[in-house]
Parts: sequence; structure tokens; C-alpha cells
Amino acid sequence: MLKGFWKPGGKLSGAIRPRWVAHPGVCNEAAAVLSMETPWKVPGRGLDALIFRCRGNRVAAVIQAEPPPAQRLEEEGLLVELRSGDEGAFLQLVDRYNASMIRIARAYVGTRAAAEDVAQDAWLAVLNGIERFEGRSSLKTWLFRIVVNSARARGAREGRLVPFSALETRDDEGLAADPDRFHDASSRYAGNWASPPQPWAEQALIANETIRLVQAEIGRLPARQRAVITMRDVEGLEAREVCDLLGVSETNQRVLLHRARSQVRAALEQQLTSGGVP
Amino acid sequence: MTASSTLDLSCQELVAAVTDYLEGSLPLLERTRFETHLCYCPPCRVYLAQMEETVAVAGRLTVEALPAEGRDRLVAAFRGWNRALPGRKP
Amino acid sequence: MIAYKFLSPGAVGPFSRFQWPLPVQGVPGPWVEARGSRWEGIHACLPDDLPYWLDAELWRTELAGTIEEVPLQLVAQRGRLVGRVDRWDADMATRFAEDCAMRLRDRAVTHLQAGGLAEAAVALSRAVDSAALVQVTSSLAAGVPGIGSILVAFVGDAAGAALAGSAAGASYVAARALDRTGGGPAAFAAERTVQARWLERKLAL
Repeated sequence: MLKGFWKPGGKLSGAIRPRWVAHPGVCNEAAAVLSMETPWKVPGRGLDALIFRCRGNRVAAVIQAEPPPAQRLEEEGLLVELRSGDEGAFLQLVDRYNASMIRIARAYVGTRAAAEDVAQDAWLAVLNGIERFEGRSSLKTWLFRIVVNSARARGAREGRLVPFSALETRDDEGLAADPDRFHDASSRYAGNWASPPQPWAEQALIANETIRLVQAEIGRLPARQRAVITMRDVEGLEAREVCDLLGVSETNQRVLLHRARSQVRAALEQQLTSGGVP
Repeated sequence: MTASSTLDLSCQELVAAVTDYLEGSLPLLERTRFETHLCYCPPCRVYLAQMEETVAVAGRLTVEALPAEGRDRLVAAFRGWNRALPGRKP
Repeated sequence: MIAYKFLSPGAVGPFSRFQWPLPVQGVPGPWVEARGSRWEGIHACLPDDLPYWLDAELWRTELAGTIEEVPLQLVAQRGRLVGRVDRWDADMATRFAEDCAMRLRDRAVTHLQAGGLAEAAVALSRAVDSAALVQVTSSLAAGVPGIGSILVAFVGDAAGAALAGSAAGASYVAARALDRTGGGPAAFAAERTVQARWLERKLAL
């Protein structure tokens, strides 16, 4: 996915290597591409198009490119340095990931302070486990897995295991949208919007208050919903990774994500369409 | 509330399916019903856009700096770990 | 093969928001392929299914590679824009919408006559345009019993959509109206087919 180094409204980075180029009679090897013309930016979605000139023919490919190898290489470099005792490399990783780790931990423990403690535990576990990291998963996934384990361990130690099991009944709360917003069975438009959502102002969406509102609302979600939306939408992990980290099925993950996002959207709607941020 | 036709979808159904749609996990027929509904239903286009905007805002949750004291603890932990490794220079 | 594709203004895919590369001076645009979680393949449709996909711009699209026929559309490995169907513009969209509203009106008139509601039938048949339809239906709907009332209300909705130039809105209302007033999904599909025929004829596809 282009997520991570390309943001909606931004430009493609020069380090992109397309996975796939299309034209009848042209091979799919990136090596066959002779030049890359101006990439298009596609607002809002992780989808980009590049025009290539390939053996004199213009072709366009809609692609989803890998994240630039540069970032992965750079992290591999940091890990090598870390293993050889380079404190600066360690601190770079801390600066890069600690906040995310705290956010993940926060889904498991009750307070910010406890989440910070979990992150501290996790970093120790990282140091102790760094020799064993083989790079099969991304570094981020590996770190998050350690955080999740640390959170569970801390919860168990303190006799307060956060109920991440099926006993978490609050997951069932929250319908996607209030049924009163839709026409009832007696209407000729049964099932359709009766009080439709109003578009939000762009400026409102980038306001700091709006970001804080989302943060607060995520904090109020039931634990599993909070964990999923944090990992997927805040931290940008893929669905598969989150399923592995949380030990839930793909379907479950989607349901949790759906409920979480619906709740946050509803909170945003309340704020943005009732005299909150103009 | 279910829709009138097997090729149609109600707004309520669309709202319930919106995450599946964004995840790409709707089977083709469901996706077709979803998208043809969007063609004639501006409020649902708004709703879908709002779900995407919600995700976008979540993605912008800011990184908070580690307070100095936390950092110091980690540095100390690192040095302890480093020293304890076999073959390290003291 | 040649198929059709509705795009949002500026040749932008309505769901992918992909900016399609345009033909240049009669030369088709470059081939596009798509791979990725939600956009496997290039989507287009045959004239039969145009009413389901209405949008601002209509493009003739050439498809190549494996082409799959699925309900309401074609999914191909590759596609390219060949040329714009210029006849499809805001005016044509409005006329299409008005046609949907008027034909629905005609159905409602028939229904009212069959139900012995001659006065209502006459009043409805006298409306000459969408604006008049909106007027007459709002006063009629309450006084007409049962299904007739729902049908008349739908006529008003379709006319309102036509007034707003909403082809997608008016055509949907017409199809839904026939479904909901006893025809079921078969009537929905049949109305869409009538709409498709109108488009084919008027756009000379």
C-alpha cells in the first residue's frame, strides 16, 4: 500500500518502483520501463497511476506500490547498529516508535501512565529479543507484538488482566447509525435516509480540536474496538497484522473496526454539525 | 430494512456494509449493489466520504514526544543491557 | 470490445477517484490496468446497464484481455478511453429525468383511472412539465387512497429530481416506484430496461 509515504493530496516519492506495468506485448518487468512520466496524484485513496514510456508506447498503470525500500533498509541499518551497542540507533527507534507503542498499550491498560510503563517494559523486551528478530515481519509489527505481550504480562502480574477475551461484551454496543435517521417500514422510502448526513467543512477536519476529539473518542471505545482502530487507522497496520496481534479472525476484526469507526464518525458528526468547529 | 430489488440496496444496508466496502471484502455482487446505490444517493456518498475522513483524521493523531524522564530511563536500561552482553567492551 | 463508462467530471472514476488519461486528438488514451484490493480490473458496462451507473460524463471505452460479464457490468483486464459520448450532457440528463417522471406519471394516470378516480387522473394528466407535476402531486397525494397515493407521491419525487436535473435520482425513483407499488424487483429491472432503451436511442449508441 502506498499509505505511509504518500498522503492524500501529496506527491509520489521518487523511490517508487511499480509492481506492475500494463500494455499488450510488453513484459511486466520494471526493467523494461524506459522512463517514468509525471505521476498523477489521486486524492483520498491509496491508488496511483503512473505513465510509462515503454518501447515507444505510452502505457498507464494503476498500481499499488510497495513502500520504498529505502525505509526498510534504513531500519535494517539501525538494527545492525543497535545490536552492536549503538545508543544513538536505539534512541532513534525509540523516538520513532514509542508514541505508537504507548497508544497500542493504552488499548490494554487503564491509564496513560500504565501505558507508558508497558512501553518501557516493551523496550526492555525489545533489547533482550533483538538478536532473535529475523525480519520476517516488519519491525513495527514485531514491536507491536512485544507491546501487546508486555501489556498482557503486566495486566496478569497486577492481577488485573484486561478482559480481551470474548467476555468483552461492550463490543456489542453501538449500532452503525441510529435507526431513527432512516425511514421506517411504513414509508415509501423505507430503509433510506430520513435525516441524511451533512457534508463536513474541510477546514473543520484539519483543525486541532477535531484531532483531539477523535483521540478522545477512541479513548472511550471498548478495549477491542480501541485496539483495532488504533492499530489500523492510527498506526496504519494491515488487517492481517492486526488479526495476528489481537488473535481475532478477519471477520471479527472487520466488525470491531466497523463499530469503532462508526462511533468515531458519529462523534465527529455531532461535533461538526451542531455548532462545534465551524 | 431491505431493498426493493436484488440489484438494489437500502441506505441502512449500505451504512452497515461501509467498512466491508472500504476493506475490499464485499463480494462482487454486493459491491455492485453498493456502488449502484451510490450513483443515485448523494447522502450515502456523503456518509462514505465521512467514514474516509474519519479514518484520515485518525491517521493524523500526533506523535507526542517522550518526556525527558522517560527517555533517561530508557537510556539507562539500554546501557545496562549493553554492558551485560557478552563480548561488549565495558 | 467497446463498452461504456460513466465518469465524474474531469474523467475521474466515481469510486476509485482515478483520474483517467484522456484520448488526445482522436487517439485513444493509454491502456490502463488495475490491481489492488478494491479495484481488480477495469469496469465498464453495456448499454443495457447504463441507467444503473449514471454520472456526469459518458465515455466509450475499449476493453481488452480477459473480460468477465457479471451482473450489471463488465470487468476487464485492461481498458482505455476511446472518446466521449458528447450527446450525454446536463441537458440530456435533464430530458432523461423528465422522461422518467412523465412515464411514471402516465402509469399513475392509468392506475387512477382503473381505480375509478377520474378527477385525479385528469388532474395528473394535465401537468405539462416537472414543475406542474410537483404542484399537482402534492395536492393530490393526500386525497387518493392506497397504492394510488404512493404512486402519485413517487411521481412528485421523480418530477422534483428532474427539476433538479438529477438523472440518477429521477430514474431511481421511477424504478423504485414500480417495484414498491406491486411490480416487485421484476418491475424495477423492466423500468431500467426501458430507461436503457431511451438512452441508447437518444445517444445513438
